[in-house]
Amino acid sequence: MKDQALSTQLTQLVEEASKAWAAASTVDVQDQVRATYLGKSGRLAEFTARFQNSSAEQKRSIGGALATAKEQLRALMTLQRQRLPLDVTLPGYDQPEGALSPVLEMMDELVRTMQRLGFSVAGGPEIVRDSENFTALNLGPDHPARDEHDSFYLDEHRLLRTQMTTADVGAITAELTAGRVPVRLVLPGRVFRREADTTHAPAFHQLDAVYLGDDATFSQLKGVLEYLVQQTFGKDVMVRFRPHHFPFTEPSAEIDLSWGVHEDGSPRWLELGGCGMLHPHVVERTGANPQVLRGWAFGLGIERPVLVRHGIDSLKRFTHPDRRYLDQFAL
Amino acid sequence: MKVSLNWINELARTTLSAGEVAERLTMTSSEVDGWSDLLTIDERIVSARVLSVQPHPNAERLRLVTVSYGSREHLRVVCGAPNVEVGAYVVLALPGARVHGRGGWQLLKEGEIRGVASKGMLCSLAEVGLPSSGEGIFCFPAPVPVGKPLAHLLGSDTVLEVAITANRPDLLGHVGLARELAAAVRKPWKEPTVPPVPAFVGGTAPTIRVESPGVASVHTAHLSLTKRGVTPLRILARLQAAGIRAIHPVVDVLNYVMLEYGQPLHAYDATRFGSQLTIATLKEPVTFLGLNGQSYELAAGDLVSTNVRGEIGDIVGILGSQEHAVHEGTSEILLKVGTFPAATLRRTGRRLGLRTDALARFEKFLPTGLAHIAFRRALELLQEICGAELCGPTAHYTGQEGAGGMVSLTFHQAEQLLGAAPSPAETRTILERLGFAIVRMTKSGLTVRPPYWRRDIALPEDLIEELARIWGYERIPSDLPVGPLAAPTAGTPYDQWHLVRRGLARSGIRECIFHPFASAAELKLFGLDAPALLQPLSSELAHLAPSNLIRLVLDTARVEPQATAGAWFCSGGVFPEGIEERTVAILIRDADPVHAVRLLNRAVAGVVRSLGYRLDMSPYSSQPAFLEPGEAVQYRAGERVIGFGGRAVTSLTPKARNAPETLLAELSLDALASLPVRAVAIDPVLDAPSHTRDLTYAWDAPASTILEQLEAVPTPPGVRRSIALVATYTASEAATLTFRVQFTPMREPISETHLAAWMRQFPKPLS
Repeated sequence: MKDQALSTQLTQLVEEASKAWAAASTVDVQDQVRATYLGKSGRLAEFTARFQNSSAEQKRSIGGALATAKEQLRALMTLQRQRLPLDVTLPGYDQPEGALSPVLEMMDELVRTMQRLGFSVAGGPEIVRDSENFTALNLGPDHPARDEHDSFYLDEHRLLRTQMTTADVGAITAELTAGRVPVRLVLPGRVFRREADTTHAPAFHQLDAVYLGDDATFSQLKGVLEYLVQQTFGKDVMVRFRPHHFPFTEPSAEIDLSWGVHEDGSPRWLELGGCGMLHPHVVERTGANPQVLRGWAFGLGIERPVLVRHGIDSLKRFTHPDRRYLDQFAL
Repeated sequence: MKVSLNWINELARTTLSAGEVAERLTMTSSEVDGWSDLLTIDERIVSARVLSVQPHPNAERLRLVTVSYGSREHLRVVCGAPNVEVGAYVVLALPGARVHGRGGWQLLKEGEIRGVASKGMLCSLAEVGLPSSGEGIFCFPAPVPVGKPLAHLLGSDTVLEVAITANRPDLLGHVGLARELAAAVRKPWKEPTVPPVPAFVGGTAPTIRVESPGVASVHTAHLSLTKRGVTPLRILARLQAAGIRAIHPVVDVLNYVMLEYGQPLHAYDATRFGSQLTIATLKEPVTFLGLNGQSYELAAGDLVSTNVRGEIGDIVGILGSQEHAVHEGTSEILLKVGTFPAATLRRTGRRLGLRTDALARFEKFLPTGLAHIAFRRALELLQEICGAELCGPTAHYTGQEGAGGMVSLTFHQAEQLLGAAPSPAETRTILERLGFAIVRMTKSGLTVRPPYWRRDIALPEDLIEELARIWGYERIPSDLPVGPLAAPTAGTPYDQWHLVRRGLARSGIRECIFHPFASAAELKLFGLDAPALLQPLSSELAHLAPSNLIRLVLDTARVEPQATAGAWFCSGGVFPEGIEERTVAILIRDADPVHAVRLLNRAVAGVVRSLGYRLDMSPYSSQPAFLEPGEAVQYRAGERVIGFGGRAVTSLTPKARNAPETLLAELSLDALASLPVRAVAIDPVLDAPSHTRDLTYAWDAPASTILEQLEAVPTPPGVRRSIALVATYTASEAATLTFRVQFTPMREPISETHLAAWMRQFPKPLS
């Protein structure tokens, strides 16, 4: 075989392969083309086999060209493979990824902020004695404020707790016993009231926080609540404290946060919960001396701010396991 | 409580707008929920005077009335009312006025009545939208300027809706609220004056016998009414603002005084009831006919008033009897004002389902001192309006009441509790305006005597609240507590719970929340038992839920009756056998049962792994009734039982054709929380290849049993071994399971010889 002929054949082979590659429009065809030319028994391998039988002189003159052609085709066919057109604006997969309840997530968000302020999580049972739920919190048997706590009783003395504050006294006592003063606790949980209408559910969530120390002031209560609200709802949100009455705090206030504005530009207030300085009688029931230790506490409702934050139309949504709603809270 | 803006402005001597009153009251005392303008009376409804009354030519019961409603304007109307008299001052609706007739609101037109033109209409109060008592048209009790729009004579008003907290019964009347308003806007306050009880010499006083403890005071007067009287417009306007119907001048006056002071009052027709009053708790049940026409079953312990004949005059503080009620022909009344045991009244009211305006006030523990003031005020107004005259001296009963003590406060205390406080001078002014008498004031503090209407003030903290709210919470600076940081506790049950929730969501499961209640039928469907609530909201919510699976399974099925594949979980407290337990329930629906099981067990294993443990499973023969026998699994971690899972019985699976399989699991969060916190152990990995081999076995035992046998083969030293199920094959003649064993070198590369030797230790696989 003449050098000339071999060399031409090789050039032709490279040209042919390049054309075939250029014409290949799918990955499958590209794979075929690659196999045809670069495969173990492909055209190039066949050419090399023939070349092996040629003289040393031929090998010398063509060897370099053959190596270059191999290199060239390999590079072409590897590079081009990555260059297939790709629409990078394709939407992501539309599979639900698992979702978390916005109510429990809001509660956890509030808990974590309180933890950053050095508060530890505590809790208590949902079934309590009426002495814990009422009497310990200055709500005697005939206290008119008991009307606001229409409750689910299991028997004469046991009921489902109507507020997280019920857990406060026991939790504070445990901290005092362990010598952890000042007491800083956050108590998230579920509470129950015997009512069900468009704005009330028989079970809902609250988060209480309590502080007991020799330095407790209403100023601190304001500061902590403002920090918590702004961490959760944004720096632009205003907090206001409005006088109110709770038998277990004195002075007491309700907490509103500004949420949007009225037509006249004045802020629209959303009631978030209640707060105040722990009543000396309640402090006494924790085992502390109210002459020495003072405390403050607040309790926030969870569901209502979730409704407002996400623009959810009804409390009923929370307990309605409709995937079209739940999946909007996907991870 | 509905509050008239005009009235409190008048009492507080202020001229505030509704918005200003709302803002001030809300920020210092009681929340104002909103306000609205009272129904405006049409400007074409004016005062007029009757000039002449003539018979109608074609109708016996109609008359032709000529009225003047301005210096020159006269017109003639046809009127059917029996009480039209020459010289009377009446209310005239001119054509085009909006009046309320039988068919609701309508525009008045000129017309002909039985052949005679009528150019207007003489109105009752009901016809202009006001509370109305008596029959016929309204006649002003005294001369008024004619031709003036009625709206101007009444004065337009705005009604505020104010929320009164349980500790402030003194705010259940306009006087109390006006006092608060004055303090809030820093205006000196002057109590309205009420004349003393008129002296009466001779005659017989009514008698009062009180046979029940807890009655703090009773005041009675036997009065004769010298005229029927007409309720003045100013009183009607205020009753209207409060949404109270006009009934009879006597009743209207008593309602007015209640709105003014917050103290309910009652009057019996004295000719029917007599003037000897006994207040006692019932010894035995009795049926009572109320003045509302309804009959009530009273029980022993209810507080009632009786006369000498033992007839019940009223359920004290709640509802009067029909028999002894004031009526059109009443000529003598027995007025009764008192302070009654709030708790007793409240229990009775709740049991009877009665919520009267009087009860709403009595049950808030009214201050005892209020009764005598309201009593004197009623005597004054009854005399003015109905010409009421005493038939004898008044009678008074005073029970036992602990005298309110003095309260001391140091200025330092206030500052210490609040973080900032008003100056001593400001402190004094605030307390004085709220009616506190300053008994002593020094450089360091003061001692005050609370007014009779503030029985809620007993501690220094109570005084501090008074200061803080009137001074303004907004003036207290914000601060953060400063102190040593406590070391955070890791792995609390709360943290574990959220780890579990997040783990399940990461496995592609969606979380929902439910109210933990169930009906008896639902419990039966699950074969579970749970305690019943004493007063459930409905039979649907009659029991506490003993398992989170009940709501999860039934509510998802309700929302998606055409069940499709999906996964849900919920968590929280449940109450098996009345014992509180926290669990998380998981529901997986999938067309392929094997896939469903593997999704479920992957999720459970993931949760357990996130806590640092490995999931162990074994067949569970004592499975709950809602799982198929022989198709239930018990979950364990760290040697503890943490829950169970399995295939739902067919009665719980969706009925739709081609409905997917339902797999259920419930894990105990309490059990998971009891696992000691543990980090996931990480084995060293050598930079050499791992080796895998597949083993296929006949599926003739539970997968967990086969896996257990494989796991029982000792792991060779120096390698990490994992065994995972990679394929299941089911055909009619045989079923197989394929496991993949992976060996990862930790110390030295694995040789083929070793690998072969290790593989021979496993039970012989199918070829």
